[in-house]
Amino acid sequence: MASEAEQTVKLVSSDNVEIVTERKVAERSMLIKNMIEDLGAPGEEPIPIMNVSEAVLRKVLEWCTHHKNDPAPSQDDDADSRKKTTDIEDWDQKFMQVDQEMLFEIILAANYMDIKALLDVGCKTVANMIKGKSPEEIRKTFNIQNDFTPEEEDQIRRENEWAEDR
Amino acid sequence: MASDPNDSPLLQLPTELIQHILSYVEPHDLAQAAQTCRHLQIQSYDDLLWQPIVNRSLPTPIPTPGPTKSFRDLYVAHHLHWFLVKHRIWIGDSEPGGKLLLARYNESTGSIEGNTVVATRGVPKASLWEKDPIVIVHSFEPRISLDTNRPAVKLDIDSSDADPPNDQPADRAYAAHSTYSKETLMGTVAESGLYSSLMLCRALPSSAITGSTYVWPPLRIPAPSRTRNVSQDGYNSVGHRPTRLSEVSHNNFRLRRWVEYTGRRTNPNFIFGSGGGMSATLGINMPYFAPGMESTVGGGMTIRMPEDITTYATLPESCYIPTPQKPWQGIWCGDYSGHGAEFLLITQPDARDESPLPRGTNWLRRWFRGNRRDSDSSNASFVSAVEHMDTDDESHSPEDVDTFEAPGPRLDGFRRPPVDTIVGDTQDYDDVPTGRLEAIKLTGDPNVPRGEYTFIAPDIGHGGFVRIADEELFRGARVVRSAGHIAGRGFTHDQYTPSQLIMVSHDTLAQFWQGFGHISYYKRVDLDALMECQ
Repeated sequence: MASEAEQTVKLVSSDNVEIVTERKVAERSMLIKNMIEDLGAPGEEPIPIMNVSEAVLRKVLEWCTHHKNDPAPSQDDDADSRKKTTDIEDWDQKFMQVDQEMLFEIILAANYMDIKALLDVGCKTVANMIKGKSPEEIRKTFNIQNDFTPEEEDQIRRENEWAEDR
Repeated sequence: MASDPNDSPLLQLPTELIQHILSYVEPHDLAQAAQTCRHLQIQSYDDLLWQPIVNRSLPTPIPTPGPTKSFRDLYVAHHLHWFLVKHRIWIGDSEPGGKLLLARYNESTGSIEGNTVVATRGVPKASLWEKDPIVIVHSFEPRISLDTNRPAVKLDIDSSDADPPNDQPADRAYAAHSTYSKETLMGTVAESGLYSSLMLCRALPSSAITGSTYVWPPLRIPAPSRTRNVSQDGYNSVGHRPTRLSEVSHNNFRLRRWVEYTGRRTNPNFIFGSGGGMSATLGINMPYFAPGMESTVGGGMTIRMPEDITTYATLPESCYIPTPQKPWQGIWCGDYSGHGAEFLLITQPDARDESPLPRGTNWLRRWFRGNRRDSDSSNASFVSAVEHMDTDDESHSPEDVDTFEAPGPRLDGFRRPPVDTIVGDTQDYDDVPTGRLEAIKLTGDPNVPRGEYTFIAPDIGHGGFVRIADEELFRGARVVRSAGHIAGRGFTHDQYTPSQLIMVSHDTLAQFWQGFGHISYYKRVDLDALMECQ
């Protein structure tokens, strides 16, 4: 039997494409890690990643490959990471330079596959797209329809007047 | 118009992911997001987002929003002022005494309060020092507490805005009305007629600060940014008042206090709002009233006394939180005999952050060299560090450099030449502390005011080592050379006098003022205990 470092696993995307990857890479996903532990015989049984298409799965595995040797996050890191949103490391920033559709697909996949660090990077990327923008700019960025009645809009504006930068 | 959420991938996310994203944005961004659509409004108002936002400013997280109905309401009520609580320690520039405030959030009332830290000295017992029986040691057990009866800052949840004086609206030098330039009227009206308000500050760019610029905190106190603390116009111009969030300094604020007598309770908006009310009532030291001002408007109903504006600054934690390498850092209370107890910052700067020793300490070179000619390299580095702090200052007398004794006229009480007569165990240990220890007055007195050094021990390591105390009172304490700062009334003829710092423990220091023949104590202020003070 191959040592754990050399082991590979077979993943199957939602569109039925089989992807073989290093076990260590795949185990960045707690979902896969738990499945491997449950299955007991890695490499033989293909693991279905039901909610993730091939394109997104490949992208997620690209991230996992780059981060396969990252130390496990400690509890303290979590509290700190909430403070700053701009502190995304360079490689991750470049990695996240994708169209919005892909960005949200990655976030959903990271959530489903339980890859906390990737989920954080994805959410921070979206947060940075919100920061410093006016309501109209946010709507434009994310293609949001204004569904307030004029009365509601007026009310909400008054409730948030404190935050107007003037 | 009904929105089709399918158009927006953001809105399609499960709510917990939207919450996750929103947990990374600032309160101001949540307010913008709330105004985009119904779905994001509900998400942005979620108190699970606002509770940590409030709690990141508090030393101990609170589980409920107190008197407000949500954490969001609580945050919004004090959105301009949470930084006061976050930084907790504030020093005021009032002359010469200064002021030390502790800012806290009051969970039961929902107000932000700043209370003056006060110390009572108790009755000192004088005893004679067994090492030298003509030296007097004064005992010192200060009781340190907060003056909770008369808070200096009291921002209630429903604090009203107090518009800045606007007597000459045509004058463009005055800051535009903005959320950030407005003053907030405080709930400090302890006796009728005593008013106060809080104003925000702009930081002065460090490129604009030279050794002679009036700034607060003073340059010898470490600070991430400073603000001007001199103004010809009551701090009303654009240079002083921020008009955008990005211009607000979270390291400074100002308090305006004034007394006002009226027939009935005055609406603060009346006082500040119309130019007439203001100009009719303000004192004479206000240049903006001088030219072209209307002198009698408002019916003479109100009599207003000249006001007083104090600028406050916080201290960066890195200069007062003790660490294993810097165990003496902290806020301390010192015994200044006739002047009472005063508060000091004791800081142990890293070698790279040490500022040049102040003017008037040159004699220390000789003092150090004279006794420790054979000493190690720290001595040499100390000597090279002695430079004039204020390069554009006037010339120095030759004695300043060459005389062994401290220069300048003798002050009262300076009755003995500073010589080393005390010897004891002079064998230093190997494992000793290193670096400089600076004691800067946070509150002061008419002789040496706030913001000035009270003593500097240039090298608490081998370089400044005198002895290990063997007398009963200080047994085992490390004794190092220090320069005590003294001055005549009004901070005249200030000079540094040879002293010895007796390092009794990490919470107790004593200073032997050699020229005065007495030893006085310094005690650490227990900040955690003060935070709990009722």
